[in-house]
Amino acid sequence: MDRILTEFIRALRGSHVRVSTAESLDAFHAADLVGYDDRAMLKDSLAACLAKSEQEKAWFDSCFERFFTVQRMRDLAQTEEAMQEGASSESQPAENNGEASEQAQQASMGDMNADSGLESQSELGRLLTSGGAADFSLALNQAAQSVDISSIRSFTQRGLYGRRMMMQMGLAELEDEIRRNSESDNIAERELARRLIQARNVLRAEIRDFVERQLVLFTSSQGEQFREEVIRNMSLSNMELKTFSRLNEVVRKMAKRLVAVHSRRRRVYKRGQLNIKKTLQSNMAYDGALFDLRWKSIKVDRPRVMAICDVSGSVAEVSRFLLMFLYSLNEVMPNVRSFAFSSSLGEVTDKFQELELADAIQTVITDWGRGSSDYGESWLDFKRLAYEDIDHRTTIIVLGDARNNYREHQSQVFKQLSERAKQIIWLNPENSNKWSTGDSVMHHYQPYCRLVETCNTLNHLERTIDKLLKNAS
Amino acid sequence: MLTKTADKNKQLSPELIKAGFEELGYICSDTIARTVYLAYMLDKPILVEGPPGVGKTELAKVSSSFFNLPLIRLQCYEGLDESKALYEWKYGKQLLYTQVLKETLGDLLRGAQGLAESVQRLHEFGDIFYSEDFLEPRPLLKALNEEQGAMMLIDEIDKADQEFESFLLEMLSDYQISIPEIGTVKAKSKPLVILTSNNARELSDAIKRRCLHLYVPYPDPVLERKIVQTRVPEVDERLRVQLVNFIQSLREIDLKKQPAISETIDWARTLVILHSKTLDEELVKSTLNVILKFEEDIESVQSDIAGILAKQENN
Repeated sequence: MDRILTEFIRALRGSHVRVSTAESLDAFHAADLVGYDDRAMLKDSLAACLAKSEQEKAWFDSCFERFFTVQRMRDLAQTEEAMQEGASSESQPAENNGEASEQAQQASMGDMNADSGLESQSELGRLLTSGGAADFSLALNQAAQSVDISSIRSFTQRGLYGRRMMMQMGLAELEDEIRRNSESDNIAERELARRLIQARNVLRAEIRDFVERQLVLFTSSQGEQFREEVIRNMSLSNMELKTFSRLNEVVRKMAKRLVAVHSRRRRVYKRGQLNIKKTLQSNMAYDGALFDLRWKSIKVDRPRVMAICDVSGSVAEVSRFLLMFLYSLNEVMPNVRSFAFSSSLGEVTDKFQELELADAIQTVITDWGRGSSDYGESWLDFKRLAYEDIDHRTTIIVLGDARNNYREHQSQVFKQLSERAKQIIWLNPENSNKWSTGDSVMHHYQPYCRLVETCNTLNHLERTIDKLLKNAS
Repeated sequence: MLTKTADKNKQLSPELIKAGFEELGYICSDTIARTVYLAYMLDKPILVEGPPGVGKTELAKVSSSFFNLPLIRLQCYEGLDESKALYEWKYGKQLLYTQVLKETLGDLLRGAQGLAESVQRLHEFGDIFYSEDFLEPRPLLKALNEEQGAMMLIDEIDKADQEFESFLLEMLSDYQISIPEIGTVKAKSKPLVILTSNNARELSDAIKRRCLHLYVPYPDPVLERKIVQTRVPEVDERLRVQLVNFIQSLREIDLKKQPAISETIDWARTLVILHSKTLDEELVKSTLNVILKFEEDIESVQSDIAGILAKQENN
């Protein structure tokens, strides 16, 4: 029984629900308490212990339904005794199957083989031709355990695991028997062989179904985790269109994590300095004896961010994600202003307020992405638009490859910007060994930036923004 | 009603809890009864989440009278800290006593040779001023000190700060609290703890891990009718069906604040006072402000009242 619950928890983890060890222990206690007889009761109890949010409850529901299908619950009671026997000699589960089903078979003997006088000699043959459904399902589950079906990872392994399970259940013997009997002269024996072949085909179909169900149960998560891992590390400029929809989800998830981490930092106090006025006030009641000391504290500001994104050609894809990230973070970064440029620069903040995130980004890229980049001209534009609003709390994030098409780089304007702002962070989608080669003018800007980073995967982006938020507090 | 000291397990079952709650006027779903049962049997706190007004706080109150435990309530808010939740020293009393005992102190120290000996003598009296007599227990400590156990309601935990949440962890997992000057205070009898949250922010995994989780959604029509019947028995059958259906269809509309159970009950009471027998457009229009709390919501629904009512007729 424990084993089934363990497997269920594993399947649950597979369906995105995070279950800690302590929680699974709780689930065991709860299951002990309520028993397995009442399905609804079991479900509610496990849900209370394992699924800890509204979303998780929904995942839990679907997983529970899939895992404890009605069939399985009905078998459970019957299976349990046999399982305990089986557990004592785990190394030879196949033989144990045989014994268990043999006992059961004594009772239900002769419903199918009544019509022909012959009985199959192999265990599997007997199980298939005259065993009950419960015996069969028991044997199936035990074979599945002995081949460790829960480690199945990919659909290409279906055949392999199916075959292993059949071997475990004694397919070789059955095949032998079929061969022997079909070559025999005795009609009854040939009839038996025909029945066995039929039974074997049924078994194959059953096992295929079974393995597929297990595959769905145990892999849906791994696949997803793996895909997410790939997406996080894939170079953003190589991203294909079809991954975009998944990407939104990943970005949102990463942003949510950052929000969770940093919204907690909101109230960081600077302690250590005595607030004399408050201390005196609050200790008046104690006759001026200073019992209750009060300290000075300051709240830390959230960063004010201005994002300047190159949206020409190759850089556009990366800019898209930076913008996506910044706007998904509006809970911890409420004041983001964004500017886009290629040959000239303009503010695009309002686009994000009016449109859906994805649409807004698309519009920005089509509106401003024409023409080749001109950094010098863009700094001048930016200065004209926003210089007044930059103060000592403003962080400017620039995203671009600094490939200026051999135009004027205007680094003194950039210097002025950096002096007025708190800091400038430059994200460059190119690798650092390519900086300042060809028409790249990175070396003119680099001295005025607090941080210059290569940034071409989602992981890079996340790390940079994480740093930004940390510095702010 | 039950007492916690009697061997608690034999007679209790989810059905019993449900029936008992019903008797006390709290109609709940099976899930709620089962979770309370589990919490009681396993000595685990329950974290109750759900939209406002579905009876989360009420659940704690009714549990307290069902299990016959004193209800101790801790309302959380931003800035709540341990001196308000757990304990505080009675500074005034300490001060007063030191003043009063000044002379006794003189007697005690008379004849002592030098500073070292005086201090030595003082040490012999231990930390009198930091003993339980000078401790002002706040809700959490009170709950632990309760001989027969208690029903501890930690209301709107999401409104408290992150730090306070971590501070609760020791209490929730081991039912004990460490006070530096005294030591660890263990629960005399484990209290039943219910935490409620409106999801103003995501709670930490650590706290979720220690609790059973109960999500209370808006009730389905059958349950809601039953609730109205229990709470406002004066409403007759036909009107009850109508008003519950109306509320249910309001919840499907995208509103700023959806009407909760408490609003349904208020509305039912209003209709009783107005001696209404059946819902019609005019009546709904004039009482809409009972169930909807935002001007925008009222405006957006007002234009469509006839439509919603007609749809119900068809069903």
